[in-house]
Amino acid sequence: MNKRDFDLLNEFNILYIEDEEDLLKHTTSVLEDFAKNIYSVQTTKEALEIIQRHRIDVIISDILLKNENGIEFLKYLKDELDIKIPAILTTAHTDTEHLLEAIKIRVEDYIIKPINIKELLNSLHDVLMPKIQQKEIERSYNIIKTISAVTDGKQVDLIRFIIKNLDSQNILNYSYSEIMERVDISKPTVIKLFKSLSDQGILTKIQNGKYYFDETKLPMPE
Amino acid sequence: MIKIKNNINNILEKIDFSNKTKILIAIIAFGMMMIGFLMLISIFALKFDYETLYKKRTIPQVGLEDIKDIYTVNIYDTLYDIKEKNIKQQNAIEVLELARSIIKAQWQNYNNATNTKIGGFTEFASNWLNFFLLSQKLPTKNYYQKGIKHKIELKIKNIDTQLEKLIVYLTNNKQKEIEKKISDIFLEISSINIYLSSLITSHLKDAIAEKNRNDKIFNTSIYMLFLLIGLVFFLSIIISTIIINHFKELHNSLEDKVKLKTKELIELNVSLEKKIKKEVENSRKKDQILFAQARLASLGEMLQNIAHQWRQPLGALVMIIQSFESKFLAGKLTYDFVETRVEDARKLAKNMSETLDDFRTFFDPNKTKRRFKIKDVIEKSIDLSKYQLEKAGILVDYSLSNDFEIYGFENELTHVLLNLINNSKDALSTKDIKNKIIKIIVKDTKDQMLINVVDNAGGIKDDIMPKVFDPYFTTKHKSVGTGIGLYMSKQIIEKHMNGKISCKNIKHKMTNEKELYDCAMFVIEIPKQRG
Repeated sequence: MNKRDFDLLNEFNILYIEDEEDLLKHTTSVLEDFAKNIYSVQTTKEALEIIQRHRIDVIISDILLKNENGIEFLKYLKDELDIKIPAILTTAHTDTEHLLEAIKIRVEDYIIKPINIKELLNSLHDVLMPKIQQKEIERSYNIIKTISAVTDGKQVDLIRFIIKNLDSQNILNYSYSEIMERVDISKPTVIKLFKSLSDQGILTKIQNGKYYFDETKLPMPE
Repeated sequence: MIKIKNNINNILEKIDFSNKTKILIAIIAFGMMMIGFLMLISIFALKFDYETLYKKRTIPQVGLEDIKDIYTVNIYDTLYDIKEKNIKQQNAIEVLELARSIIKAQWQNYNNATNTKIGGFTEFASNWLNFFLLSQKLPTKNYYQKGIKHKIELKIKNIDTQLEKLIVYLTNNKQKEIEKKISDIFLEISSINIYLSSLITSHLKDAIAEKNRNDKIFNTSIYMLFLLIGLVFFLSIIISTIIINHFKELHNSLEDKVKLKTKELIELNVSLEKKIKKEVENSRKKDQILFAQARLASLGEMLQNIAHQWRQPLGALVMIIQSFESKFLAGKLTYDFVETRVEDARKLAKNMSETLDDFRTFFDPNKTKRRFKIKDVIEKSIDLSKYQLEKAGILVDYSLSNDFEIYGFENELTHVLLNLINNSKDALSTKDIKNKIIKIIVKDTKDQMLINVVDNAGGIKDDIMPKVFDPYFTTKHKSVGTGIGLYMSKQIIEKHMNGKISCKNIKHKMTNEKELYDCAMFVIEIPKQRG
């Protein structure tokens, strides 16, 4: 596992609930190198305060807390307060009773103690991936919008049409005339763009009206 | 001979005791009756003989003597006087007439006497005795006697006729015929006298014969009586001996039986003793197995405790180790960091090691008696079950009036307390109550110290109460309860610590609040050691 992958985590706030002081201290000291903020607490009461005051992206919680139960707390958050934060449970118990409860409240992941830090990081990564991707998509969309704002808008429309209409084998089944019908664009613009893409090997003509789109030939972004 | 004897013995042995006695009594009674009967018969027979002698022999003999005398004295003398003319004719006739009538009467008497029948019981007795003694009955009259008697009768008649003729001559005074007649009569008289003497002799002979017979009868009777007495005596002696032997045998057989039974009893006793020893040994072994089982059961529970107590520091340790890597990768691995983490890790390891020590000393197989403080035992017991109690949300509280020292097996008392705490915990965890509390209270009296373990799980049901200390009795599910915890606790307290353990239901204020709870209380009483 490359450390660089976990750089993605450093934009997130983590809430860590563990009643055992030593473990809390050492795990926190590891996690703080990866996360943006790590809030370490020993009780659910403290945890609730943190949640209400800060934006929390993920909760890591022990199941058996002193006189409390991590699962109960998560259930309370979801059902009573309607706060939906992804959660990872840690426990020394392998018994199915807890596992079933965890599945029931749709906990994102479940880690057996003693905690393997890499496993925890992977888990965090997996849990946070939708958020990471969401951010990535938003960013790409903004890039495209910015590009179309400064360049010829018609070309952006055409590229959008091509990518949108690729079949499962990355084949585009449209003739120029059909494209021109669907996208309001002049023939020379189409030919020019197709030639430009074909020169870079991105779009290869297989036969009339059939083009293969090769993703790998796309230039890496800066 | 021996065979017969054996047979008799067999028969005798078959007759039971009461029948033997009956036979003895019957023989004695029968013998007495026989003797009595024989004596009676003999007396009557003797009387018969005596009467016969008197009536048939003495009276006729006297009669005959009289007749003889009359013939000799009266007639002969008178005739002689006539011949000599010493008497008057008239007187002579009177005397002769008188003599004639007397003779006639006497003869008649004689005949009567000889023909008398004695009869009655006496004769019957005599006949019976004769028959019984098998003696010959004498003929009543013999022919010789009969012949003589006949001749005498004829002679009497002849003399009578002659005398009559003489009387006629006398009256007519014919001297010549008178003299001739007198000499004739003289002849006849001497002749009849000879016959009469013969008859008397014959009667004497009869009397002598009868006397002999009488003697014989007497002798035989005496002999028979002696024989009978002897027989009865002999039979009585024999049967008495048999009965005595029977007694002896009975006594001996009873003695043998008693000996045999005593021997059997002794053997039974010995075998019972062996059995008891074996059973005691078995039960000791069983107890040992029970103890081992209970030990294993609590070992399992302990292991869970230890596992949990290790899990936390272990998790932290693993995290510390991993933090080195992550810090290194992050480029933040400073000496400071390493130093603090190593110190933390050392502390954790030490903690783990201490937990292990607790565990090891509790299951120390080298049992030695030593002094220990009761407070330590209670704290250790609570500590060892801490995890389970926490998990079940049970509060444990303890109080001591004094800290005592006990000399004994520390681990065993720990074991007992662990058992009680564990039972309370199991009872409490099934109950849905807010405050789950176990209280351990140590008190003392003059002679003993009391350890009370109280829980507010509602007490023990009455039907279970008498059975809680029985081996293999459990209210828990089979997979959890072995039913030996309290039994083993009782054994430990009673046998190893000379104490007592009991339980009762009480109402107790477990918290500072006023509320009273239904509680089960186990009381351990341990005598205080002096010096």
